[in-house]
Amino acid sequence: MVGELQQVEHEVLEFAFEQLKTPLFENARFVLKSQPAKFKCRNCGNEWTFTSEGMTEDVSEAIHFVPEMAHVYIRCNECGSPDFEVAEGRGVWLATIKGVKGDE
Amino acid sequence: MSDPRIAVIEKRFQNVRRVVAVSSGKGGVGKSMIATALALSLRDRGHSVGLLDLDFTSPATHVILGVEGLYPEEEYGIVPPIAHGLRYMSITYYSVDEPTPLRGEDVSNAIIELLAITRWGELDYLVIDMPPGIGDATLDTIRLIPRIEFIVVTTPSRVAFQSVRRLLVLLKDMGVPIIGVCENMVMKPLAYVREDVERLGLEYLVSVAYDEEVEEALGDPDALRKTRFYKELGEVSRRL
Repeated sequence: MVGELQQVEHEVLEFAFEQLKTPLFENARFVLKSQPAKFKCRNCGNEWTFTSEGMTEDVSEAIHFVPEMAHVYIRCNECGSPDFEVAEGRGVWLATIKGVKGDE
Repeated sequence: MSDPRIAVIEKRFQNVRRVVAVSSGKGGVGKSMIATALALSLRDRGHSVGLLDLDFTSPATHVILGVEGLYPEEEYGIVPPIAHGLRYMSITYYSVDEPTPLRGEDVSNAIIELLAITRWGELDYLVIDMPPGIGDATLDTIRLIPRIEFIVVTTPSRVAFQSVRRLLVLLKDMGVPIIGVCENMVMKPLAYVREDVERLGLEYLVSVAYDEEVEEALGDPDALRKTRFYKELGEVSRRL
């Protein structure tokens, strides 16, 4: 799963996964899914969805490297508080692994 | 659901010989000054040294070093730039001078992220300027950074040492290596900090006198090197 807050390019991840296709995993299938980033304000309860629209490149890059920088540059669009929860879509994580037991 | 970042952290530290966290139970005791001076002093002795500022709320080492206009390079992670001979990493590359209001879980996430993406390469020493106290950052660094050792800073004030003592007891209980205790900003030498540290079975490393010159040397490592503070602290880098 690729949370949208971190703005990871799917091509870069796909390239990295290709490198994992050692003989043992040559038929492995890697599936990438995006998840929109959702915020919930701890101050007023407002919920809203992340968009990188209008962000400068520097800010976008800061959030890309350390997503917690969202609390530096993003404010609740109702009350202006930086005290919000990243309810969904923060980073990159492994959701499931499926496999078949071999002989070895 | 598993976090792929944790597995990477150990690899990031595999060529770092020693990781020295400069910590304190209390704020305002001079951790950042000591961490920065210690890193510079180790560098003066010919070692390869990194400095990591993990105090997200009140980062200060960039002010002490006078770092401006540097930015990490992106290359399969990020490579910290060199500042005054040190591989230098700080959240201020990303937060600049803005407030960074992070709750506990966010602090943990930001620490994990930084540790996972930063490529230190080969270092003799990585010095970490820790945030004060025994909260998330301290627990996370102990949990995540392999072979971490602590230097604990106090002032002679009983107000500071009460909290510092709690940190020392915690580290001891957790079996974390403690290099020793630095007593900083000493104006009137008293024996009680040394005695109490030794009663805990720990090493009292140095007593550093309060030095008015330090404030004027902020932002200028060469001026800092000329201070009595720096010379007295050299004793610690010699013993590492």
